[in-house]
Amino acid sequence: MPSQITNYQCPACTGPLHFVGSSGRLECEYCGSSYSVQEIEALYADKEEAAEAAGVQAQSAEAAQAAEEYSFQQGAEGLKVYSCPSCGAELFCDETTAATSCPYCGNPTVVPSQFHGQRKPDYVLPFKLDKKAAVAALKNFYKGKKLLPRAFTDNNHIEEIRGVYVPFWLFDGRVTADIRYAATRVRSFTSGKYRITETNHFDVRRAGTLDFRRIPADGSKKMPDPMMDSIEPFDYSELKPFSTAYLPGFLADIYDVSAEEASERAVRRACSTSITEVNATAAGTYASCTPVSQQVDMPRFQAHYALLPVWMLATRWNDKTYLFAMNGQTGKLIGDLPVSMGRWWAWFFGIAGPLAAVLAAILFLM
Amino acid sequence: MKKRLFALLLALLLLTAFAPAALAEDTAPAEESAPVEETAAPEETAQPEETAETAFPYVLDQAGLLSDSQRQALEQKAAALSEQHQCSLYVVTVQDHTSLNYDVYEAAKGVFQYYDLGWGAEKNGVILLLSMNARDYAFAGHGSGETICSRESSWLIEDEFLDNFRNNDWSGGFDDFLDACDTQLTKLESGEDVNAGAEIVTGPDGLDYHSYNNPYETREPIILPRVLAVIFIPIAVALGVCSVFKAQMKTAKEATRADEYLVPHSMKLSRKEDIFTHRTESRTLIETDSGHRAGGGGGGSSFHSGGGFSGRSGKF
Repeated sequence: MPSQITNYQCPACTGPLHFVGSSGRLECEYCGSSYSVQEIEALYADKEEAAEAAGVQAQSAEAAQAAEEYSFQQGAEGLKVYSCPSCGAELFCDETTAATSCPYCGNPTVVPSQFHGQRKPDYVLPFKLDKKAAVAALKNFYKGKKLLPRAFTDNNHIEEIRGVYVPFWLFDGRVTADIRYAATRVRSFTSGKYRITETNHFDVRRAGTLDFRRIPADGSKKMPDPMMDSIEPFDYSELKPFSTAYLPGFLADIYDVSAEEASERAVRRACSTSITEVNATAAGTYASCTPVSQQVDMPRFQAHYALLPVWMLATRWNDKTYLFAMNGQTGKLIGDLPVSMGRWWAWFFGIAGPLAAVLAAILFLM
Repeated sequence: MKKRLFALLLALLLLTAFAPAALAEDTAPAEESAPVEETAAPEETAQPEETAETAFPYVLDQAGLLSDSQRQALEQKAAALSEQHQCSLYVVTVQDHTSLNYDVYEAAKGVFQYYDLGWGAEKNGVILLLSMNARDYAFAGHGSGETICSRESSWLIEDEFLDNFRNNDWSGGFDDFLDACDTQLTKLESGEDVNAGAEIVTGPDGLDYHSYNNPYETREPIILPRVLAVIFIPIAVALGVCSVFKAQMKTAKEATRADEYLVPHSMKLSRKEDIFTHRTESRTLIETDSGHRAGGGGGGSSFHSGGGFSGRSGKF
């Protein structure tokens, strides 16, 4: 039975191939050969097809077996077991894992059946920044953080760094907005001994549509939403039609949050922006303009499925894991850092003390 | 023409109050008619026509601020002090002075001049006019009254009565006015400086303010606010800065907007209605007179002089 997974190996030396963002090619770190995405796609088309077919067949068999009994391969932990075609080791993967590397032989592996049918992404945004850039960005991120414990920067070491293609839903849609306002215009003038303030009241209504394109919402339960939102934006002009040839060397997950579920966040964001835009058309000529009723919605949308590049970095300090995410295309890095209360108080007294002394000198001595 | 109109209005205004008051007062101030010569017989000094002309009560309460007993007590006190200093002291209250003159000081002066008030040939006297609608006051002095209504001395006089009027203590205010005039006239007679002790501050609006009540003065903050400022301002600043530092430590936030994904110029308004529904209007009375600008209690007052008079006006 053919393997369900594909190893991308150098055609020249059979060493593992990795996609390198800076060159946009797949490179062999052993013999130095490099290949374009198209060349590898052509070389591995047959293998992938066979692996996909095997995977689909296995999934069907598992589904049939699951109807009668628990699948030993999809046990309580929801893991899938694959066999590495290079070294034969068993790979235990999450249900959503689509690309990983063998922990024994280090060969990058892709599970083509995970991208079968509806689960095949429309686009992939290749990594542009490598692991070194991510490490450098993290070190740079620590700079200027006044409350960061010194021991964190001194003793902290990166526990894990992973380049992950995160599944994202990109929503295109049209928001319809219908908002009514109570608005006023005010005029003041003098008449005899009186200052007269005249307020004209208006019933204002604005209705219309606004188009949004590719609002991202991550489709992975494993990824914290605030982190994925905070590393936006991605430059969509570099989106490529999906190909597994971009995945070797990185991890990739398939979505486990449906487009319907993810759309709630995207629609909420689009509506918020739409309200502001429509308000601006109403408020311009009035002294006050207060919304009294509004109907804003995105009744229809189109979801595109894309894999976007994210570097996930984990560090450990004081028995606590700190997670950081970096946009693999732009280098924007975010994450929460520990706060040193000692430093907090030092800054507090360092500011308050001298300021109090200066104020006292001004108020009592001058 | 203007003078005639003033006279007509004043006559009409005061007619109802003035005549009965004059009739009721057995002790009407006939002494105002002419300087009393010690050697002259009273019958000779009290000319009938002069008495008729000057039978003006010392206290004319047309605004009805005083009870009968209060008015009579003030009348007697004013008569006694006027005779003592040979300088007539008048108190007049009206509901609205604007029918006499829009300027309250001119209205007070006008009453004094039209009724030929004052003591003796010098027409020594001080008249205090209260106009209740706009809570205006003015007092003007002539002869020896002009001397005690100098810029500084008038400030000392009004300093005595203004607080009463601001508390609607009319009888007390008039009483203080008479006492203050008595004090200043006594100083004048004894050769003392009537201007001594005045602490006037002129604001950028041209009005005179009492030094303790000058809104333009930068006052020395008292100790407690300074102590509180030294404690709480640094705490607030330090907290603010530390909060900014702390916010830098947490950078992951869920997005709430999609501004970057709005297609440029894609907004199409299908409905744009602006319907006028109604109009509301509010009116605020404008205080135009410089003496009025300072507003109610606690404001400044204006000093006036010229034409043989000097005095002060403002709001209480």
